[in-house]
Amino acid sequence: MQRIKKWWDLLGQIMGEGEYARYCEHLRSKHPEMKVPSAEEFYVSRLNEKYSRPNRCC
Amino acid sequence: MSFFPKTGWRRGARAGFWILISFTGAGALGAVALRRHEPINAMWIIVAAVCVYAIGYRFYSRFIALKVLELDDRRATPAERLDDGRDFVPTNKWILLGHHFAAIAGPGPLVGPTLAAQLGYLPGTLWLIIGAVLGGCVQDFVILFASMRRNGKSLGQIAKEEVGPVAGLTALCAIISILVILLAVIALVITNALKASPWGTFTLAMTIPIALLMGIYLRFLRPGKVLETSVLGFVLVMAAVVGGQYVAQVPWLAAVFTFDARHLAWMIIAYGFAASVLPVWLLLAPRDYLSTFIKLGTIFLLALGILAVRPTLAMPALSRFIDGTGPVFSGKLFPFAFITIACGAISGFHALISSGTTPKLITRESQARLIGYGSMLMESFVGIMAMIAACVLQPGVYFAINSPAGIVGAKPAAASAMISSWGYPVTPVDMQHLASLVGEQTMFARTGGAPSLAVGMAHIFARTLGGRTFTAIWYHFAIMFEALFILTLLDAGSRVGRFLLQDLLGHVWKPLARTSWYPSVVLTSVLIVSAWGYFLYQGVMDPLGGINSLWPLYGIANQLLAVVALCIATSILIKMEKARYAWITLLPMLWLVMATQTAAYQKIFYSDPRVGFLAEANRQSGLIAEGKVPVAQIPAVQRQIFNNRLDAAVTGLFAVMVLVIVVDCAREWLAILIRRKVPVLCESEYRVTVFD
Repeated sequence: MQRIKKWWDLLGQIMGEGEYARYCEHLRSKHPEMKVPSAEEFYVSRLNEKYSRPNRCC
Repeated sequence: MSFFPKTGWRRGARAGFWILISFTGAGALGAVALRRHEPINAMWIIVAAVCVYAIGYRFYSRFIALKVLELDDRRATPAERLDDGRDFVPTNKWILLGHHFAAIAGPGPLVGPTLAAQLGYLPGTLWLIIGAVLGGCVQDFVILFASMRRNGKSLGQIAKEEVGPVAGLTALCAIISILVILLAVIALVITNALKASPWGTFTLAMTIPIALLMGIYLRFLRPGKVLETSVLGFVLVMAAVVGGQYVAQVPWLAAVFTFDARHLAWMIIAYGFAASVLPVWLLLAPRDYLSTFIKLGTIFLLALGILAVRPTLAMPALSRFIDGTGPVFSGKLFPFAFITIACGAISGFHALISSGTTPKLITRESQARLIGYGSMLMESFVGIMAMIAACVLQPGVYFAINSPAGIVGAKPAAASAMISSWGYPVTPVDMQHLASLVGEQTMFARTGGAPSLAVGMAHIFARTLGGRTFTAIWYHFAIMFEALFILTLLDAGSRVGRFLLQDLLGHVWKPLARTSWYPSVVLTSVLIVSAWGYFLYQGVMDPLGGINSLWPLYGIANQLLAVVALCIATSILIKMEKARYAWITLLPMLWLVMATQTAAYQKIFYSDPRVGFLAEANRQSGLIAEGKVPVAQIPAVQRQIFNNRLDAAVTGLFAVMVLVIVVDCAREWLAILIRRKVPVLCESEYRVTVFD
């Protein structure tokens, strides 16, 4: 069960999960004065960045 | 190897291990290459490939990492120096490997080897293995390194800074035009796979509402929970695959989802435009997650399936078509085998990915070896699996699926007779049986590679799981799997093309570069989508099925982009004062220059109308002049004449753009080598890492 959880998390990370948590952590430690965006705001703005440059190949 | 106590012992054991791998690899490769008169088992190819990959990774990539690039783990990477929690983030190397692999692996390594199987399994297999180890992996690795040393700059920017503005601008133009051809060709592949197939069309159509649903769920209900949403989407897609069977059986429903190629092409064009202007979170992103999830899973399953079934290859090592008369694509083994298989051996497009997101996420320089070189080895292995899946089919069946009606005739009896006369026996009964087994109306002339790959995959999967009754489900699963990520690539590609075009047009008139200005967004989207849409439509109307003329064009385009990337990589090596090692990129580059320029020349000027675009145009105008074309068909033939000339012009344009870059780079190399110019590298600052 533990092992399945580990693989599940790895797959999730590969697909880009945990980006929001990491960003919040980054803001807390490096820029405590900045406002933390909501999960939804972060998700949408992040997608707009991701899909504006070549990110998928033939 | 802790069970060898002394260092000397351990070294000996290690050397012994690698000698064993070398012999196994050489033995397997020898068996693949030399056994001619009996069918070989796929395991020989698998063992040969894996051993060569292991040796290439262990020795060649290490040599490049240590001696040529001198990767330095004390040097802080952009992910560390510029850590912003978003774009620049030090990431675990295994996660990044998966991430990078998911980004580079697309339909290319599946379709290319399937088409190249017309020459027999040997040429494609050798090119996939050798091309990857000495060419493709090196390109990906060096470009990833170059971008990592430049704060993750793109290939175009690197070209501009390291070579000059001419190379920079030409590279940008080349990238956009290559993107257009790429999108047209892969759109043609799914059009051919879905035409007259209500089951496949229904399944793919259902992925649109499923993606919308996932998009809403991901944004409003569980923001960022990508994996669970993908699993949810996957379950729905599987339901659609199974449900498609019933749709195909109910006459009125089947009629709703049955389209000819022309209508499908229009729908795909409309879809591409919609996806390019709609908000990303609604359609593009969820679809991408779904396709990544299914892609990784299916590739893994296919590997397991091949290992479990260990199929025997029915295709000969070399078919009679190495003489250039093949029905799938025309042209001799050299250069066309090396053009047909691009992704999987070496793909210029990877250079765009390697100079994109990945270099901003690497924690330590030495990890570029695993991520750049290693993930391309994995992609090459995907190509090998596709080759195996295509070659497990009886050659007669393979040619019946992949030969366009324009060559073998539209009637099953005539087509079977012609294919059998080539020495690859097949009967209409065999094909009817196959069609009913996979739940299609006909399997004749299903060109484009996707259907025959799906038959091969279904064959392998059904022998592992489910038996014959499941063959139809597996076939449509495989079609859905290919179509899903082709469509994802169409969305993502159209959108990226739009951004690149806006960037380019911004040089002409500033406001056009504003990515949030609606008129510019719509204008550039229309331009990009109608550009690839035009070529797609041309392919659909082509009597030879389009793949025959457009796939080589795409292969030439992709390989020319690889020439550009390798050329820039060579420039960087020379400027790093590593000219004595510049052969690592220079040799694959020269090989590709030879292959692509020969192919481009032949596609334009060759006297055989089946190969040369201009010869075909002249043949057709001759027919009109002699009055051999019925009056009603004259406009259609004239359109084909125009398209052949257009294809010739596009091929010529590609060849010229690349020569401009090569000459521009070569001038720079010469100036540095004869010390007329002091090399100035535009690397970012050296800072010592704080990571331990």
